[in-house]
Amino acid sequence: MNVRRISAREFFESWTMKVGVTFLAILVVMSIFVIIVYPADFGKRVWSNPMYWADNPKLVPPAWITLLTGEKLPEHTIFKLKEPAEAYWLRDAYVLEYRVDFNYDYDDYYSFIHVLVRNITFYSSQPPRIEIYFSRPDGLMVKLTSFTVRGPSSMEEPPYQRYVDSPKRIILSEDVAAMTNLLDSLNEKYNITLSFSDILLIGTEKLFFGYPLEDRFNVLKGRYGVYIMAYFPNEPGNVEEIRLILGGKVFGLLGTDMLGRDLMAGLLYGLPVSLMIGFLAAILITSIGVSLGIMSGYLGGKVDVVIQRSSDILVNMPLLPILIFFTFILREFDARLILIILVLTAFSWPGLAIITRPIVMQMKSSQFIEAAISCGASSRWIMFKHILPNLAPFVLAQSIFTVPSAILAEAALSFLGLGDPTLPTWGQMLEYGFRSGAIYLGHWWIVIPPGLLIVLTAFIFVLIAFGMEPIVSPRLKRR
Amino acid sequence: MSGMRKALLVRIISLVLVAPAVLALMAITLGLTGVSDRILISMAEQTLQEVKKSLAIQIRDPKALEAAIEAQKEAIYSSYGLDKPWFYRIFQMIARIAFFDLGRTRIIKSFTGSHEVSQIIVERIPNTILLVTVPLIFSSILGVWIGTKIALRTGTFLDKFVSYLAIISYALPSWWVGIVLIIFFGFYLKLFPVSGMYSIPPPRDIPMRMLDIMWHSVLPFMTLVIVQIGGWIYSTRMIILNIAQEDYVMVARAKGLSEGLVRRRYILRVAAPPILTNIILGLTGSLGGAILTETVFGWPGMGSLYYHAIISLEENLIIALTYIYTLIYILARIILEILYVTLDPRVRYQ
Repeated sequence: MNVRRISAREFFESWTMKVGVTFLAILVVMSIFVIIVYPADFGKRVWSNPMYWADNPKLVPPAWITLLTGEKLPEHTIFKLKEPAEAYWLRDAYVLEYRVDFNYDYDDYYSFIHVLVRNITFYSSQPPRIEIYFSRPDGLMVKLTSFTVRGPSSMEEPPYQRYVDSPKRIILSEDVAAMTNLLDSLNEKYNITLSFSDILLIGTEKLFFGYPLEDRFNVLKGRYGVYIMAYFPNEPGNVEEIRLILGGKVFGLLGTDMLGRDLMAGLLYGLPVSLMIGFLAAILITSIGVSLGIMSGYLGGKVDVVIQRSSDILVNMPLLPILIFFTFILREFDARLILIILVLTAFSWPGLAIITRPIVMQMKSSQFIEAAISCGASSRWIMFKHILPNLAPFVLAQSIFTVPSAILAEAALSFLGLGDPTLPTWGQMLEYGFRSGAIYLGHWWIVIPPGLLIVLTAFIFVLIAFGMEPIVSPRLKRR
Repeated sequence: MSGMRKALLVRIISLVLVAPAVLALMAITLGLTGVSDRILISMAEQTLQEVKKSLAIQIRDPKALEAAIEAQKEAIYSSYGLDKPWFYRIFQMIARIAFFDLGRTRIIKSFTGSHEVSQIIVERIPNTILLVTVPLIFSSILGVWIGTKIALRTGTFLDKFVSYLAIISYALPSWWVGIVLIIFFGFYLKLFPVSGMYSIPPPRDIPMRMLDIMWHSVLPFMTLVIVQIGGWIYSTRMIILNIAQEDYVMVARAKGLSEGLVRRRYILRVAAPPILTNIILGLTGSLGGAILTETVFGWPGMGSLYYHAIISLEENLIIALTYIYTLIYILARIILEILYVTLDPRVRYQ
C-alpha cells in the first residue's frame, strides 16, 4: 500500500467522487434544515402520537400516483375558516355562519369528512349550538347534524371557553344523525329504499358524494357546499377556527401509513438520524481501530500480541447475531441508538486495527521515523505526529466504508424490532410497514421509499469510498 | 506437509477460540444485567412446580406441606446457584449456554410442539444452512466468473456498466431487496409464493415436495444472489487487475507466451487464493443477510426465529441462537480455511 499526501484536485478527480460529494452535501444541507425545523422530541410527541395524525387519511398512496394511473383520486383537502361568512341576529340568537363551497371532479369518493371546532367563547349561561348543513349538486340540502356545547357549571364565570386545548372533532362520515338524515333525503329524492345497514356495507362516504344508479352508487360531480352555523343565545360569542377536512384517497408526496402519519415527515426526520449514526460510528470505529493498529504496529511486543489476538477473535465473531444479542439484552438501556452505535463500534474496530498494523510496521523502518527517533522524539509523538498524518488518506478511505455499514447495521436491527422507539429511523418505518403486512397488500409507498433512502445514503458513501481507492492505491490508475 | 498443517492449525485454533470468547462475553453480560438470574429463577420455579405436585400427593396436612415446599424451594434455588451472586455461577452459565440447557420457552414452540430451546433450534438448522449455502455457492461462482470476464476487458462499456451495478449492489440491504421482490413478483405478478418454505398443506410425495420447496425458494434465493453478487464481481475484478499489472505477467507476455496461457497460468492461478479469502470474509455478510432474508420471507430457519424471539421477548432463545450462529460461522470458516490451504501452493509447499 502506497501512502502519501494528496491534493484537493486529485481528490475530486474521479466522477464517483464528484457525484458522491455533491449528493452528500445535499443530504447534509437537508439534515441541517430538518434539525432546525423539527421539534427535538419529534419522535415521542409527534410521530408516535396517533392524535396528531387523526385528521389524515389512513393508508393512502402519494398524490402523484394519479399522474401514472390517470384516475382522478380525491386529494386530501383542508379548509381553514378563521372568519364567518356572515354574522347576524336571528330572533334572540346571534348567528355565525361559515360556508365552504367546493367543486367535486374526482372519480372516487373522499375517505371521510371531519369538522373541527376550536376554541369557542360564549358569555350567556345558555350554551351555543352548532348545526351543520350539506348541499349537493343534485339540489339536495340536508341538515346533517347538530350539537350543543357543554353549558357552564355553577363554578364558572363568563367568558366560558370550550375546546381550547383539543378541538371538538365531528366525524360526519361516522355520525349516526348525519347519515340518517342524508339517507332519508336520498331515499326520497331517488325513490329508493336503502336501510342503515346497507349503507354500512356500501361505505358511508358514498352517501355524501354519490347517487344511486341501477343498484350501485356513482360519483356525483359538481358543486358542493358545507354550511356550519353557530347559534349563540342572548349574547354574541365567537369561534377561533373551524376546519372542514375532506380525507383524500391520496396524500402529499409520499402518502400515509395505517396511522395516517405523513411518511414524508418521518422520512425527512430519519435523514439526520441516519447520518448521525453513520458519522458517529465511523469516527469511533476509525479512531479506536487506527490508534490500536498504530500502537500494535509501532510498539510491538506484548501490546502487539494482546491487540492482535483480541482483534483476531473479535473480527471472527458473526457481527449481526452479536449485535442482536447485545441490543436485545441491554434493551432497557435508555438511549438505545447510542447503545447500538457503541456495540457496533466494539465489534467493528478490529478490522481497521488489523489492516493498519502492517502499514505502520513498514513505516516504522523508514528513514523519517529513524530521524525522529534520533532527535529524541517519544513513541507517542512519533505515533501521532509522524505516522498518523501519513496514514490519513488510507484511514479516511477505510473510515468512509464504515459509514454505510453502520447505517445498514442500524437499519437491520431496527427492522428486527430492536430500534430506538423514541427516534423514528428509516429502518423502523420499514419494520412498521412490514409487520403490519403492507408488503403483502401492495402498499409499496410505505416500504419502498425508506429502503430507497437507506440504499441511496449508503450508496453515496460507497461512491466516495470507491472514488478514494485510486488515490489511496495509485497503481489502479494506470489502467 | 508439516508447514501446511502448522499454518492450518494456527488458524483453526484462533477460530476455535472465538467460541469460548463469545460464551464468556455472553455469560458476563447476562450476569451483569441480571438476565441470567431471571432465566435460572424461571427454571427453578418450573422444577418447584413439579416437586409441589408430588409433595401434595404425599403430604395431607396443609401446614406440613407449606414447610416442606419452603424447604424444597431453598434446596432447588441453591442447586441452581441462586443463593450466590452471579459471578460465582459464571462457569455454570457458560456450560448452560454451550449445551443449550436454558430451560423452556414461553410462547414459541417447535414444529413438533416442544418448548425445549434446543429442539426448537435444531429442527431449523437445515433450513438455514440451505438458505445460506445455495445462494452463496451460486452467487460466488457467477460473480467470480463475471468478475474475471470483465477484468480481462477493462475499460469497455460492459466493464464499466457491470462495475457500477456491482457498486450499487454493495449498498443493497438484503431485506429491502426481498421486500421489493415480494411486492413485484408476489403481489403484482403473483408469480411466486411470498412466504414460508412449503405450501399449506405440503404435497405428499417426495418429488412434488422438492419442487414445492424449490418454488418457494426462488424469491429468497434471488434476493441473496442479487445482494451478494456485486461484491464478488467487484473484488474479483480488483484482484485480477492488481495481479495483471505485476512485473512477472509483463515478463510472461514479453517472452511471447500466448495470451490465453498468460491468463490461465500467470493471472487466474495466482488470483484464486485471494478471491477465496474474499469469499471467506463474505460469509459474515451472507449469514447476517440470511437472518433478515428469512425474516422477510417467513423462511422457517433460525433467522426468522430470531425475529419471533425478539418480538415475544424469549431471552433464552436469543442467547442460544447467538451461540449457534457463532458455532456455524466458525465451522464454515474452518471448512473454507482448509479449502484455502489446499488451493494455495505457497502455503502448501512451505
